[in-house]
Amino acid sequence: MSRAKEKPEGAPRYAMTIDLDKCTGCGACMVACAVENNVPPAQSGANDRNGTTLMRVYAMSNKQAYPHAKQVFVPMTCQQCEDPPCETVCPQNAVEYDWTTGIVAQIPVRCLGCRYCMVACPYHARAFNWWDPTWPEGMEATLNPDISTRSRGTAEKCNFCHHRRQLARERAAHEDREMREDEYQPACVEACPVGAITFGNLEDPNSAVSKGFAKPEAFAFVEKLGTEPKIRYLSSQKWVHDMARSGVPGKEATNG
Amino acid sequence: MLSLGSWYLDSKGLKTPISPAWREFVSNQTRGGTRRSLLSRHMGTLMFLAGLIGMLIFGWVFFPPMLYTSTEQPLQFNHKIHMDEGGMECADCHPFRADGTFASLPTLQQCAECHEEPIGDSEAEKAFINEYVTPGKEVNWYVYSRQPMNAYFSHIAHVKTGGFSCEECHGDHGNSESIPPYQTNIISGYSRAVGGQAMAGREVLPTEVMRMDTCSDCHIKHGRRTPCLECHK
Amino acid sequence: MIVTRRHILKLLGGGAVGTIFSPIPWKLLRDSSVWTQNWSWLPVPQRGPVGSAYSACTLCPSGCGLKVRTIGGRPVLVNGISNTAWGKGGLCPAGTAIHQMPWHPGQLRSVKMRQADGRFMEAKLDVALAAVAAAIKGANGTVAILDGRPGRLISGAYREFLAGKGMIVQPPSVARSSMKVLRSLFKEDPGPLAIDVDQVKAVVSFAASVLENFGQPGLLQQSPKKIRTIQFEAIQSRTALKADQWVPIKPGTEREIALGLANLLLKKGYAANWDEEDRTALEKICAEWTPSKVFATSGVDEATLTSVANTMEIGSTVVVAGPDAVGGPLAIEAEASIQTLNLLLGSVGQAIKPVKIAADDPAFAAIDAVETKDLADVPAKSIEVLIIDMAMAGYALPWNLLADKLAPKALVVSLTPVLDDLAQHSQVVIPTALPFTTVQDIPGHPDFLRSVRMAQAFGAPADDALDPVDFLNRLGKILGINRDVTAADSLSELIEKQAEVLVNAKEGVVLQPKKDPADFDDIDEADELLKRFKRGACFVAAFGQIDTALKFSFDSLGKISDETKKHDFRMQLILTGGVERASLASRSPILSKVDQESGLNPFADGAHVNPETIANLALLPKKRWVVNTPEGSIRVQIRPDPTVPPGVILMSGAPNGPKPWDVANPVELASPGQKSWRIIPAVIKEA
Repeated sequence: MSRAKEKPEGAPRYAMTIDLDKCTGCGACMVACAVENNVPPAQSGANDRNGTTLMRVYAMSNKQAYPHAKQVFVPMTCQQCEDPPCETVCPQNAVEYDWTTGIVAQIPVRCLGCRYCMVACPYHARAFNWWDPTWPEGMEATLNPDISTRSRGTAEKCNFCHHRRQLARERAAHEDREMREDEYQPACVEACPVGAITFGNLEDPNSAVSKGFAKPEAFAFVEKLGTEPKIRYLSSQKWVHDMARSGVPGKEATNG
Repeated sequence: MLSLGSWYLDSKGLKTPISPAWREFVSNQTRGGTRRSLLSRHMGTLMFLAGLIGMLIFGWVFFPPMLYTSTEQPLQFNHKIHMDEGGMECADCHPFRADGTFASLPTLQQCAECHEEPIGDSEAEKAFINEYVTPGKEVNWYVYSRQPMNAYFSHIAHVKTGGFSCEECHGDHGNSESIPPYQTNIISGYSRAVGGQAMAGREVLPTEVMRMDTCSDCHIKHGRRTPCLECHK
Repeated sequence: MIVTRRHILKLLGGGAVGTIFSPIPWKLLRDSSVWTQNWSWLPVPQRGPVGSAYSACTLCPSGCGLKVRTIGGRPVLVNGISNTAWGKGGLCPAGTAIHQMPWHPGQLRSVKMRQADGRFMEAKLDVALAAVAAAIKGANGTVAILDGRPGRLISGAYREFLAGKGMIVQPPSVARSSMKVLRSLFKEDPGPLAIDVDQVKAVVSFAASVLENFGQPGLLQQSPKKIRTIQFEAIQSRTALKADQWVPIKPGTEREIALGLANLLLKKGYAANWDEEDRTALEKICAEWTPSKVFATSGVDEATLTSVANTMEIGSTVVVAGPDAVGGPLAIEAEASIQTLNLLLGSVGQAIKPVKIAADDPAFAAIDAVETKDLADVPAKSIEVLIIDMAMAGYALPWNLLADKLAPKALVVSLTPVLDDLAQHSQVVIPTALPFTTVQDIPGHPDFLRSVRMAQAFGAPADDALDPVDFLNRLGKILGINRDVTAADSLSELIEKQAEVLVNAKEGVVLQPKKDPADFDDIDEADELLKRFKRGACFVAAFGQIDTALKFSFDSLGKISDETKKHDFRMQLILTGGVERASLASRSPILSKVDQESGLNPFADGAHVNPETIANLALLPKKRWVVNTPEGSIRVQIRPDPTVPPGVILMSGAPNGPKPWDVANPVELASPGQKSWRIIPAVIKEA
């Protein structure tokens, strides 16, 4: 893997596991992500495909009838692939695999809005700012200064709340120590009320994510595409694994 | 020397001899007396040079100040007095907070700790106390080095971990007796300290300019390649 | 000297060459390109020192604690804190979005009064108060206050205001909460009870949303030991999906199943130490509900019923039901049958304990001086003046149920921060402060331990927003009521009074985030308690042992609720949705992320009906349809959904439109006379 050559010694590789057995489909992760990343409330024409949602929860069903129907709720976000197709296609170098953290960096200021990356992403994880962000009057006071606001015409995606890592490193530098891994948690991980999302360093064999990756219940969506995503979903239900082999969750036509 | 032939072609295309009077008139032009002035002879070149030099002067002397607006800070501030007589250091007013973030400019409360009552006899201090301390109003300082919102800069990484001194990037601000007006580029909107002052030549030092290539040049010089996400938010 | 055009051209040429060698074009080019990169029209987030503050959420009865991240004193992010006897720090999406509430675009900015032509117009507060006072003075019928969240300090103030001359009406979700029904099973009211969640190993739930996204979300999931969940429910809700076992039942058969389980538990000897009379009475009621009869009525087969009964253990299994946020409470006989199981499981005296209320707690002022009634028990057309305070209720209430109780020329006053569904039917609307903008006392969930915490104010309410205590004072002044019993000018004063009472009573414990609990040896002054409240503390009332020699009364199990007028609405409309949909009007705008931009609003597109049912009734999908109920109709689109039980119409109980507070509310389809609107008789017809 070409990434291995660039990686400095001891650098972390951040990854996430999402436990679909636990996720209740509440959407707190979506709200926390929007709040943390200065995403405004939805425009009136917005839906799941044209809205700016860096974290988006879908329901996946086993397509059976009552009473054998089952659903799981799947929070979909950027899968932070080791071999990201979006990085390859960007004509502006607005996407870069960050070799010091493993995060696929999306820099909206460089983006010219061609949306090639959105075509390339097999997970539909990327969002495009079709509209300028506007907040109800006065709500700009709740904006987070650790993140910029983005203009219309730029693509964006989850960056694993990288700004939180910066803040954690500043705190650690002030206290003359190394940053502890649990000090850096993206907003969605913090917000999940049932603790379905874990986040951590894949290079550390003792971290919760490393252990999660090794579990037999762990799977990635459409692994056969070879993008090597760094998000694993955990499910004890076989039908979920089967469906994930061939497709990614989206809004299903019949069940809304 | 202007020489004349013996004939010219008239309107019908016929060769017409040049009269002696005409011949005499013309030759006088070139032998002094009624010769055309130097100025008129070289008017063309002069005009060219005038245009050239005029625009050069305008472009190099008059244009630069036009590009920038200049606003005075709401108050004058004398760093030198605070450093010498006050016995303070940079970090006393521009500290790191408990969470490691840089506190940028001091809050009204920090200043008011000493300046509830006038200490010196300057007009600026009196104005400060009357207009800001007493009513409890924060001073709206213009921040010279404020980066655009998409850039992230960690002071503690550079000052504490990197060992840079304040002067290396901000110049000898600490010994200044007054603070300069805040200048912004009318077109780009950036502060002059960030967007750069020179019209030609490449500014390299952060004391002159604080653009992205300034940062990346220094990083490359010190062998610290950084990914995009390190500095962009 | 002749200057010709050629000279001018040469001048310009020289100027052009000079320009190229001057910085003008290059600097202009560079600066213009930098200008294009500046998105100067976008708001720049303001910087500032990072801090944190504590508060509590006022959107639903759970009152989850909040930790607010502030920048420069401004709230930017909200997370939950784990410091109640039950909360594990989870926060639902509505609570996560609460800090953006103060800028809610639907915020009422002035008093509104309905004119003769039916439209709302802005009005002056004095005019509105005069109208209300006049209506109260001249009322022949009842003057009632609908208190959607009793136990608050303002609830006590309401009773003081009415003292002797009016009625407190409680919405059925409150009047028939699980705890109230459980208490009604005792011959003598044992006083407030509580459930000790830490002892619980298994939860048997009758359509209660225990594993869903509100009401201390993650409560069961975050428990250190695994709690087994069994869900009896007609539809496959999210709790049913996540439960260890989902038992599908025919809609409306909860009572029969509960009595069937009680029958089996009685046979196992679970009532061995009961009073002989009580045991025999219960056995008589349950005797007919053999497993086979239960199967015939509800569809739960014998093996399943028996296995569930076998997993229910004394002292560690709790049975929960209770009102649904959108669908309201179960019929009282169903709730009572379910709570009887808790009595059988021996929770009384072990897991369930009585709670001591401090004497003179202003939240309980005048509790015996004013009649309190379940809305469903109020006589029809008897209320002349109704003041509605449902803003903090967290449960939906169909307007039809209220409308039925109003006298012909009744005056309805709504105290609300936004023009919600009930306010849209009112004559006078008085703006109160939005959640998060005002100091508020939060009494804790009525079904759990008595607790008190405080919500802080971040930002300011609208100029015209009225403190409810101020509202009562002004009204009282016009009416000449002597109010020196409460004698407070604002809610904050009442909060201070309550703090004094609690500190003097010296009962109970104060839980604090990230610190050990404190008791009243540490906290000996009211100011100290208020300080702790502001730092996220939660007061929990003391509880003690219950007298085990108790007598029960099972009358309510046998009475079947009145049926509405005969109808042939053969299908069943079930409204679904969590609490954040019940109080949709004051839904923080950022929740549109979940509503519009995810796969999580599955019923936004209309009514979901089983394809078999569609085929049987020949409901062709291309046509326009109307769902008819005894009380009204609503136009719908029909979606075939094989996950929906046959014969059921499943709809979202939430207003759904570009402005959620603007659209007709499906919840209004409930039928008065029905004491429960969990299942509304309905039928689908062509539009």
